[in-house]
Amino acid sequence: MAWTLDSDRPIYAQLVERLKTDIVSGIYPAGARLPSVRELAATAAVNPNTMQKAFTELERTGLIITMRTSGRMVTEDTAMINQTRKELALEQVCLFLTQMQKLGFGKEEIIELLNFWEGGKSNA
Amino acid sequence: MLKKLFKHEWMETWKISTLLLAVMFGLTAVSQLYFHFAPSLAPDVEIHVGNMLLFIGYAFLIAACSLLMVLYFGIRFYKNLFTDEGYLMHTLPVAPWMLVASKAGIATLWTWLIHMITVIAILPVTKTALPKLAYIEPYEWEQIPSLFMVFGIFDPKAVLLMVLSLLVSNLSGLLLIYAAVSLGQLFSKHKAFSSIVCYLGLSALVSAVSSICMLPGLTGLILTHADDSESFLEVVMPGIMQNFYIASTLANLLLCVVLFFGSCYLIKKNLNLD
Amino acid sequence: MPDTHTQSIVSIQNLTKRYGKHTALDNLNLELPKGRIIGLLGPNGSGKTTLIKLMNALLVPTKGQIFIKGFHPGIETKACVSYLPERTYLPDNCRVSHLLSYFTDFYADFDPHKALSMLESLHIPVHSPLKSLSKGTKEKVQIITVMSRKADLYILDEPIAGVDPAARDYILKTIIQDFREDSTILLSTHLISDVEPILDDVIFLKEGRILLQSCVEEIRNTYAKSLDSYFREVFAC
Repeated sequence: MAWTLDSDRPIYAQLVERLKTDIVSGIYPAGARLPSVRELAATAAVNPNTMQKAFTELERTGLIITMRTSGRMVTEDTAMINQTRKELALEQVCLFLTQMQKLGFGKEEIIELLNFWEGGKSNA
Repeated sequence: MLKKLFKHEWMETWKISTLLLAVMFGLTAVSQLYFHFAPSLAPDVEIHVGNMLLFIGYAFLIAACSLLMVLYFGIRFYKNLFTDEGYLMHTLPVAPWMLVASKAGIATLWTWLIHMITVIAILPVTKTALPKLAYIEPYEWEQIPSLFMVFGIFDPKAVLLMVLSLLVSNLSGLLLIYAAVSLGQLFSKHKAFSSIVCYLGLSALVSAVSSICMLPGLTGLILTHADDSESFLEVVMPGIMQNFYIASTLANLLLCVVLFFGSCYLIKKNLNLD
Repeated sequence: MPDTHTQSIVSIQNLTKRYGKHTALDNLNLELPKGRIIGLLGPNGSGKTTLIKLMNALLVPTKGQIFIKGFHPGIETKACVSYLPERTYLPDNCRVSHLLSYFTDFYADFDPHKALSMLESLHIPVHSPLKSLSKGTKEKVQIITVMSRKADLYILDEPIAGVDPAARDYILKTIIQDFREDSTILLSTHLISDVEPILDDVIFLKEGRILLQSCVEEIRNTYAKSLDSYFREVFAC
């Protein structure tokens, strides 16, 4: 039930990541209303103040907008959402490439591996 | 808040108290019936040992009920305030004196009630049983009322005084237990045992002090009435008994005050729940 | 005069408690701010229970003072502090409804409907005698009752120790959901990793003295490890 969080990194940063992922993946689509800080903190089993900090950070970047009467909503700006999506993907690519480099794979080998992987999936 | 404490104290103790009273009534009813139907003794039979033993048994059981009532409230004070239950009671937003007062109030009510009913119950049974225990000459029967006159039992003012005196002495008895329990929990180990030791110590202290205080009064009494003879029993003794009741009631009240504030102070400053 | 203008709900000044020759708390100075969930951590014998008892007026200090909302621990503080002791304080022969009646009668900030609905959601019958309940269920009853008060300060001593993991989640969720910006929760526990995600701040107590008072996120930032790991490191035997 509770969100899986690493115990050795600040929770706040992980909450920001998770919220961003949920937004770009469509769990909270553009213009959608977000649950209250308290509800989300209870679901995630984290401190409400920390969840509030994460929300504040996302407000600062503009991904979340606070409306005085209707609470917090995801921005309608699909360009921004796409940008965020790209940023998150690039982070993953960076991590992936760093790992592959450790294993000694160059760019050509990586592409070969990807094709192999795709081929295997279509045969199955 | 005090009223609520009284309410809760009542709710938690009325069942056992009523049970003890019911047992007492039951015993009294059974004994009364038995002695009513038992044959009176003929002049040649001096005493009936069997009936005597039964009567003593009844009196003993009745006394045991009273004692059990007192013990029940004493143990309840300890359990409710000085064991795990104390974590609930001492964090309620009430002053320590309210906790002691509510417990003393309800306990005194019940113990006083059972003591009064003991006296009221034992009298008719005794009257019914007496002729079945020993042969009593008619002239001896007539002497009994004058015996009661000594204690001023037919004077309503005296009866009221006795009842009040009983109330106060019940209160002081209970407060003595409460003070002993409060003292006992100052010790870090064997709190229950220490409470008993403190109780014995306090009782001894109270007896000693009251004996010393009574000494000048008694001496004066003996010196004043040394020459009286005939009218002593009927005239002088009731007066003395009345003075005795008044004096002992006042002394008991003073004791109550001391014990009450002592217990409250100990709870306020030296509470140490495990 | 205690300073009631700051955001501290609890102010502890030079607090010392001695039992005979043994010093349980040694010249403690502590401020607890409003609106935070604070963990009080330390090994056995560090003085946690003594501190908690002092805050609840179950003990009297040897030296120093405690101020809760500007008052010394007493009747005024008991009315605004909701305390969950480590012990089960319910006598076996009474019922859950009995405990609820105590809270309803003596605490103006108690919400009986909230307590009843929580008990219902856990399928705990209100009229069942306590001796028929398991230890874990008794603990749940106690914590539900304590958290159903709108107190300014909640002091929870080992709230999740005697319960199964599913119940632990429920209890932690309840704590989060009942959290209000104008109240403070002080939590004392051994189960650090379970409680870590919900803590704002943490206090490490060792041999009656404060070893550390910090924000949990800062510990993770500075030491790149969980609070649980850091605790083990600090208190390694």
